[in-house]
Amino acid sequence: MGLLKKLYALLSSYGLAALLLVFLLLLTWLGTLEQVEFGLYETQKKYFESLFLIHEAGPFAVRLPFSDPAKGPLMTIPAFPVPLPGVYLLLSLLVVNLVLGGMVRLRKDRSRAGILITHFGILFMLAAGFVEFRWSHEGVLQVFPQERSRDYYSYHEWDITVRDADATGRVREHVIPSEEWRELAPGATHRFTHDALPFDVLVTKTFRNCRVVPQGPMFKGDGAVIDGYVVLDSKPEMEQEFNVPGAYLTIAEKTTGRQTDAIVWGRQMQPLTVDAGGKRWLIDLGKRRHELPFDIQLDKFIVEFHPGTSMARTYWSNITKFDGGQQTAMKITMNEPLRHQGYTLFQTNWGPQDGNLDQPLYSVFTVVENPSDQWPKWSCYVIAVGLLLHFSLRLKKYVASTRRPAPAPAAPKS
Amino acid sequence: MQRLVVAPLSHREKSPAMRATSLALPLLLAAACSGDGGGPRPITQSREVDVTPGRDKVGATSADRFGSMSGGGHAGATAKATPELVWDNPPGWTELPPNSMRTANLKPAGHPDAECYLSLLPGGAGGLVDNVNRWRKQMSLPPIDAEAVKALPKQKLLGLDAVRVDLTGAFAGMAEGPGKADFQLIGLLTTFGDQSIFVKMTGPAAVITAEAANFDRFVASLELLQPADAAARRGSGANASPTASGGPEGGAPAGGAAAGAGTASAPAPGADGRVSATNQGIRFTGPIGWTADAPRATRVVTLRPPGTKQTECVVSVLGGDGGGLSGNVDRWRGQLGLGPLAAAEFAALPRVTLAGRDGVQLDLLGALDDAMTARKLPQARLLGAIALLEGKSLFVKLTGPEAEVDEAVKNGFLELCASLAE
Repeated sequence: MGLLKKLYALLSSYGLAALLLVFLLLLTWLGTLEQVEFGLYETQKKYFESLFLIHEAGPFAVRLPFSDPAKGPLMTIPAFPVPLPGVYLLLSLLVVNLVLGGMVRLRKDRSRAGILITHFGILFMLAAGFVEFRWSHEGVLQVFPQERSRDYYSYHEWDITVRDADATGRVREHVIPSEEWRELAPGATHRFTHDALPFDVLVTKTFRNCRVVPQGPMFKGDGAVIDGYVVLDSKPEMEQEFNVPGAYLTIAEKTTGRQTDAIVWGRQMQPLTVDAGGKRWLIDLGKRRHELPFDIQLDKFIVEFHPGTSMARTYWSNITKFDGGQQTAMKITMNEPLRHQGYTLFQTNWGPQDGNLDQPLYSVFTVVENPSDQWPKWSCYVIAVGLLLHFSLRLKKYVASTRRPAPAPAAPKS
Repeated sequence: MQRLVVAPLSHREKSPAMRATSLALPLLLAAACSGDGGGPRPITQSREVDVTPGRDKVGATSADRFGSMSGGGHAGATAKATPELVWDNPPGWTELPPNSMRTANLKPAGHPDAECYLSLLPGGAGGLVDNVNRWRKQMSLPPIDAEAVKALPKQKLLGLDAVRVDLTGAFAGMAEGPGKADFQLIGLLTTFGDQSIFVKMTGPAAVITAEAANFDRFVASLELLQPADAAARRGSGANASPTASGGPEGGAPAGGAAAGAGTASAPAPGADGRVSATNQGIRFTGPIGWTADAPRATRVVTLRPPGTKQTECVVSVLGGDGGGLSGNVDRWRGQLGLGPLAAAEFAALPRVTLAGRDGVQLDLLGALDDAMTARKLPQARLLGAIALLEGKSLFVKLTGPEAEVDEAVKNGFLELCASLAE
């Protein structure tokens, strides 16, 4: 048996399918436990979007039941690393296993048509997950009554942007996405350049969650003091959207070679101003901005409370959608999102929620751009059809077998 | 018969070695993927954005950008002016220059051993119980538990309920060893957003007991106001300190480079090439070619001589004697690593006329390390002038690399000093 045949047999085997499902079960369990301590975002990255991971097992305390807790455990097993495959790798292998074992290798006859369709439905669902993972965007759009907007901001991703300080109107800004600088190793530098800019931007130190404070003698900052301010590194928050990144930059002028150090921070109230090449430039660090291909105007936001409480019973937004020359009045509720041009707008929040209903209430939508938005639903239909067909055929076969005349009893031996 | 139970411990009990192991792989991968290898990375992404005039402040200072409370606001938030802390000096109290740890810095009754100051610290600053016990330790008193701290009286501070402590003992401060006997400490502690606020008065018990009512008056007068309101109150006699600044010399740009250095509202040179203006009651005219930075609340002006990169000249005013002539001379000497002057040496200092008043003049060399502004220069020259005016003190301080501060710069400095008027 050739190596390729062995590999084919392995990748299409039931054994591999069972092993993958066991690992998926294990990682779902471990990830659920880990989420309690490290939050959803980190856990998703570590367990569900990775090829490999190192799980920290333990430490464990070995005790006798009903023993006096004050005496401590009999022994303590220290924490130890457990290398595991990530869910991304497992699902990739599951796709290969399903294609080879569940479709290519599967005997093609009428009785297995339902299984084939079901396997196709599962593959379709996995494909939906992959497309969402790779190409979907999610963010938040906040709009006040009578305000019109098409901008929504990412929950998790940040960009460093550079633009001409004196330009107004529709202005082009250069974007350095966080994926290109957030994983900066200690001591390393990333230098970013663009022909239209008279300077390069050097990212010399980054912080996932930090504060910028005036330097004082009673505490030590986590970087250089610039203009009396220093960055204080903070422990990352469990919920990623609460983290505020920061970075030390060096602005290196191309013609003069002059270098200027600066700090940019996710919560800075004004962008950094740089004079270079005879012009002024603004450098900002902000949440990634996306743009809808259509406008939303909030006509009215309505919230109804449970009687005698400040707990919302239901809330919805009456909006007008502007797309090209067309205006459409619509209503977005918690369970009735707006779907248009590949975007889905869910009603997720409102504010201000300080009990003062005299103020105008703004509406908050979660915007999801997901090319595979409806694929899971369709894949469920496919799977349902496949299972229905398969069980129908099995039922028909069973009914047929029960109607078959029973074999005549054997004649008694004389 | 008992069975063995294996129970997981909390993650906090995991060993550092385990943490290191689990971090090693990602760090190695990050190290492998990072560095300057491959040269500059092209910026490939761009997008269009609608910018309305005045949306962003061009030339915003670091204080504009970060404030000092380091809270509030979010990416893309509308700019808000930094609130200013204002208060009334109790009668007989003198005001000292603030520093990065003391937003308000006062000397009760002018007594040399008494002090009263307000500090803002980021975060919980150790927590309420620990800070109360830190103060008790400074007074050579044993610590108390959380219940006892909870039972301490409360007093309003900036509209918040602050814990009040009133301790008598041997004051050791932050030093080890026996403290000064028969001292008293009155203090208030509270938190505001992500900041901790402390007001602390210490000194001989007799002085502090006598000044307790003034302490309460000072605390009651404290307010955080928007700049316009603060200016109005300042006009009525209140003192003020922008929460974003480190003091009269605070927040100076670290270098002559442009980042953060405001240009939008900086005084422009006139037709004769001189910057001239009146600010905080002081009129000045800069030497020809000297440029001015954007105004800062605690400075009359910041000027930069032509042809220099790291040299700056700050003119500032403080209420009262600002800590006194000799105190400020010694403070500036200390920033250059020089010891205090003896009385005879102080008396021998060259004199200079500032705003029509007799003052002292300094010309010092050394390694500058100014904790107030975090300004450091290895081989620096400091030209200084201080004079006491009617109810206030006037400071002119020029610092820069020794190689940049030549005779031409010194002549300009003296020219600037001569131009000052009330």
